[in-house]
Amino acid sequence: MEDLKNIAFDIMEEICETDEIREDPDLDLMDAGLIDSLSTINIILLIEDKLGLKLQPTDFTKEDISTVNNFISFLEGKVK
Amino acid sequence: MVFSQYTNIFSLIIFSSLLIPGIVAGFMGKRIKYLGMIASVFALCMIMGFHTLQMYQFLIFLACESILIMGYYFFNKRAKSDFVYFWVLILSFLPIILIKSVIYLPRFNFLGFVGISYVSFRVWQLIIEIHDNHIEKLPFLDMLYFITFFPTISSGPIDRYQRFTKDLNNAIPRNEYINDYLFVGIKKILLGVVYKLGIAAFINLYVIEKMPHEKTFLSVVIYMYAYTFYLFFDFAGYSNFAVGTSYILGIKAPENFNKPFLARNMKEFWDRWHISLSKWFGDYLFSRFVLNTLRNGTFKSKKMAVRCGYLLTMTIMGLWHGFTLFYVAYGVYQGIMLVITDFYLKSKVYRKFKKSGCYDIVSRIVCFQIVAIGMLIFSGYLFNV
Repeated sequence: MEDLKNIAFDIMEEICETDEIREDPDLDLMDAGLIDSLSTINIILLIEDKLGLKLQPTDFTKEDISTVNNFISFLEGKVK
Repeated sequence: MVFSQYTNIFSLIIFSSLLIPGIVAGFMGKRIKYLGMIASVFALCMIMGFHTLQMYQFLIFLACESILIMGYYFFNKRAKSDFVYFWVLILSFLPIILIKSVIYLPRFNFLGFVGISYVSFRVWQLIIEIHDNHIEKLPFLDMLYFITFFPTISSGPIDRYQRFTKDLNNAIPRNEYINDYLFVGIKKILLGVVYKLGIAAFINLYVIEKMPHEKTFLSVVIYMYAYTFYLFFDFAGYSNFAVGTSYILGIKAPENFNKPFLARNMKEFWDRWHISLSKWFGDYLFSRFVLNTLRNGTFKSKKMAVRCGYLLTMTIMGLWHGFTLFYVAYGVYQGIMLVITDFYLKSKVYRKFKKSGCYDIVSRIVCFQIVAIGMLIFSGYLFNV
């Protein structure tokens, strides 16, 4: 699970292009202007690359990627 | 006798009277589901008539699509096949393609029924979600009610199956129903009256219908702005009726508009205008196109895939409105504008401009002009000589 957490941080760091997200995993990424509606596509491609998991855009809700912590729980749910 | 939904106070009252059993159930804290289904049957008979060609076509459509969806649902549980998925999708496209082609086939102009464009979205969403294994259970009645749900049948908003059935199977406590569904629904319907039967009707009567036959530069400009406001108030008014009626039946249908004329660029505009349509296209066409073309290497760069995705999605959106030249032109125009917006948002000019004090106001004025030109194309005014 620790691995998955690291992967989630790596993915979000790459998407948001800042390591600030590591300091506050509950930061609302949409509000902070770090992600937009197109980010989902990048996130899907990165998940595919790092975890070999093929997802569709409708697998996510807005909340699933709104904070790093939500994203971690989302990934945990998918990998189980 | 056939009634058109939400076009005047009289039909609004007639259709609202169908909601009374549902309201009573809501007051008693009971589930509205089955009363809503019965109301839907009556409403559909009022919209399309009972022994009419339109109703027969609707029923044939419904029977064929139900067989297709249920058949694919049971097939997909046993085996996975992209070949079958492809052909199921193609089959589900046929009715709308046929009906939209009628403008070029005058002999078949009896084809068509109210809501074909919007009902099709519900059918396609089900097929795609079945393929993605997002639908665990598909009770026949729930599916049928989702496809034929009357408040939003003629022009949306386009709901999603999972969201819809969650509301549908929810027993709402009495107080919550009164405050969060009934009153909110009535408020929305009243706002719809002001928008559609008030403001839009006023603009139509006093500006649009008064336009001279001879087109001059000035008349085109006046028409463009008048039509833009007319379309917003007419469509947002309609959407308020549709969403309000859905709320009263215990379904929180999604909103379609969020102050679209305050958008600062065309990307933002599509997050605010006909939201349920642009979200649908975003989820089921655009992002899948971008993902698949990047996965299979058609495009090396994401930028290129995204820009081609905009052009493709918006052109199809135009075709979906109708196979008429001006709808297609409208789609292509919106696609090109999104590509230009994408270039603009990634430019240094934008980053600098964003920091300036006049960013909001100037962006909004410019964006509104781009929107209005789009609406002028959409109206067909330039195309009727």
